[in-house]
Amino acid sequence: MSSEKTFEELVNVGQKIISNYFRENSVVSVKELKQKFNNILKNPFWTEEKVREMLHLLSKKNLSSQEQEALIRKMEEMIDELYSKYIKDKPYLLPKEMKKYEQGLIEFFRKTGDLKGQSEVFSTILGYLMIHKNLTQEQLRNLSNYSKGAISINLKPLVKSGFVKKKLIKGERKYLYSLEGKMGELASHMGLFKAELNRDSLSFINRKMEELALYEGEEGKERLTNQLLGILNYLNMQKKALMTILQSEYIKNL
Amino acid sequence: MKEIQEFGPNVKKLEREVVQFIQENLFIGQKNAFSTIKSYFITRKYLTQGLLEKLTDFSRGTISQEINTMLTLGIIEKKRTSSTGEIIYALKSVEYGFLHGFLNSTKEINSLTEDVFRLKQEMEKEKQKLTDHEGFDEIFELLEAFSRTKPLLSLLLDELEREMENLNVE
Repeated sequence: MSSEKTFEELVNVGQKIISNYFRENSVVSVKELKQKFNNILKNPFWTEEKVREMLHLLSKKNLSSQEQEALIRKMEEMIDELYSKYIKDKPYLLPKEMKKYEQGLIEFFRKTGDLKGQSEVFSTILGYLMIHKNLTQEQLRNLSNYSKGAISINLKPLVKSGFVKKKLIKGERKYLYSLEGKMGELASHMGLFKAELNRDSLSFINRKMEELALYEGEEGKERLTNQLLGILNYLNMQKKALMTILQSEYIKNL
Repeated sequence: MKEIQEFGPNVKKLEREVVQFIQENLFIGQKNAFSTIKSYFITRKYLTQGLLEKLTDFSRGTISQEINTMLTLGIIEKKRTSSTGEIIYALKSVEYGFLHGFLNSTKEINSLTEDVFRLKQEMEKEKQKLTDHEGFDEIFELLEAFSRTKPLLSLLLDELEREMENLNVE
């Protein structure tokens, strides 16, 4: 290490960059910020004044790759720490001028969810998470007026599917539920997730077909085999439709 | 093949695993009674309300309500009345069971995006007044994104309609 002082100096500048990022951006992404720090030396397109200061310091001190690595890890720790603070302080109840639009969107989520056979609570939670990106169960309760139990039950499948991330807030005994990324990333994540789900479903049904073949002569075997063949047929149709959509210009341009 | 069949113990156990898998993975977020009953139609094809009561433990009232919804949506149909006086319901086809509801809801969602588009236009008119408010960027970004999903929905509708045409529904 060039010196403890240099390291501290760099950490302080880094802290200012992170604080500025959380203060100046209404939509924040921890993943994006960590990526930016990881690329700071290779691809320094960040134009902020403090970043230029950091780059200047880095070029002057000529850190070894090990030292650079240590600095990046320190920055990542700091991002997590400052992010927890940011979430704690971030207002989630919108001003009355914005309520009309927030409610309009929630209504859209409820109606579309209802059409898909989804429960109102599930669609509402998904809607609020899409608007606010990160919320605790308590905040979701305050926004939606649903019970603690209803919120907890409906968050489970979202977390299990990987669509929502659950993370413990540092220094608090609360979890934060997040939909990270921008719309394009979300759409692509959902697409990939569905493609993955389609693969898993095909393999599950094929396994069950093999298992069923062992129950020779048992009542219901033939009926269930026919029905499972129908499921396989549907999953193959779904696979074809997913490929068409994922390869479409619309998704590529998102 | 008899329409209403008893399943043997191994087949029944495997059926329960399939029903659970469908509910947790393919009907994610759907109402419990609706998705359970639809899943059993997928594994059995023919069912009576009495058999559904035994398979699911739901009350007669709940089963009757969900059966009516499925009849309205065109997922199932009344096949005939059995010798014991019970109505036998039939799933049109497995593929139809999955696709039909999806196609209809996609059409409705497509029309709902018009509402979102109008809301976005309204917000654009008020932009100067609203732009500094908390939540403006997030809401505007979502309204814009959903307004732009129309071409994707049209693409999906074309694809689904093609698949439905290819289906050989009994």
